[in-house]
Amino acid sequence: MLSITRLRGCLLASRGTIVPSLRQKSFSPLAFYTTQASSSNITNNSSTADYYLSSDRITEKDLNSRKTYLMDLYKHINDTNEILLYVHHNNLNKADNKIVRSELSKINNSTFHYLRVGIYRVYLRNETDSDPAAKGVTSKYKDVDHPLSPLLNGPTAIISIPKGDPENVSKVLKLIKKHQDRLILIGAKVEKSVYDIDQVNVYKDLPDQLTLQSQLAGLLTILGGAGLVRTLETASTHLYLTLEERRKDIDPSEKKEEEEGN
Amino acid sequence: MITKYFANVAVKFNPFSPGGVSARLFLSRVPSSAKLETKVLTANSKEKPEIQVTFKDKTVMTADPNTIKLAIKEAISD
Repeated sequence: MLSITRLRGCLLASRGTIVPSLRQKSFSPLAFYTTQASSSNITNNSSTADYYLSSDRITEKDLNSRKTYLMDLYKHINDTNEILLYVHHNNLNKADNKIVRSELSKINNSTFHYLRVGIYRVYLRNETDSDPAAKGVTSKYKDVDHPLSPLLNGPTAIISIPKGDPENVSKVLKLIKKHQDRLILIGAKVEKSVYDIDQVNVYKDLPDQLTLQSQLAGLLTILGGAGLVRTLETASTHLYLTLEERRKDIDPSEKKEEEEGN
Repeated sequence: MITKYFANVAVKFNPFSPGGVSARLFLSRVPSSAKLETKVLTANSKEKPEIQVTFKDKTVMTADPNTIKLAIKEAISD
């Protein structure tokens, strides 16, 4: 068995010279590898990039197959984007498709992907694993029920927005509305939480994160920020004083010194 | 399922409910020649999910995607 794996590894290594370039073509390799490095806990002496393309990586499906590629791509999309909008696409012809993609790329580099729902569903189940495409992972998470899985039936596409800014979302929603009969928003994933369309509509009207933070900071400074700081400090100061007192009780030399001092 | 006599199709569905699956599968079979009207419902909305088809001879057919799940699946597989 080991020798067969070795042999396969050699074969893959020899093919590897062409394949990585093909695999990297559709998205930025730099972004892909930096996210992989931060999100996975594989300790490889070289970079994690090598792990994802190396022949030592044992995957459920063939390493150079489209299924493994799609798993890696979906992991990349989910890791690098703060907002994902799920849309149902219906009779979207080639011209419309082109328009949608070009308009989306103008909105903060958003992208549009048709999903292979079966593979995406498996990816969502395996999401927590460092390498969702690895061998045995699929059976390990067989019983996981992901809240997004009901959306993954029929023709589904995904719109990914890299930065979680409500303004971008409202722009994308306008675009979807323009293609009303062909693109139907059905749900969204914002950071870790799953939103239905009511929640998305609420989210798009919010001010952005920076504004909210500065508002909070402003509010705290105006309404006696110093008082709040003192209140927050009380617990730790109290603890320090108690412990200090206890230390003095236990340590006799300290006590003596204190007495002499007096 | 013969779709060439469809004139108008109005579909209301909640994508997170089991009925939403059949509604979406039905939607995907509707040809671009038919006029399409869709409404996405949520858990809080009061409207009921519904599929309504108006044919070219003005006959109207309505169905509830939650109960006719099997019928739609059969029709689509034909």
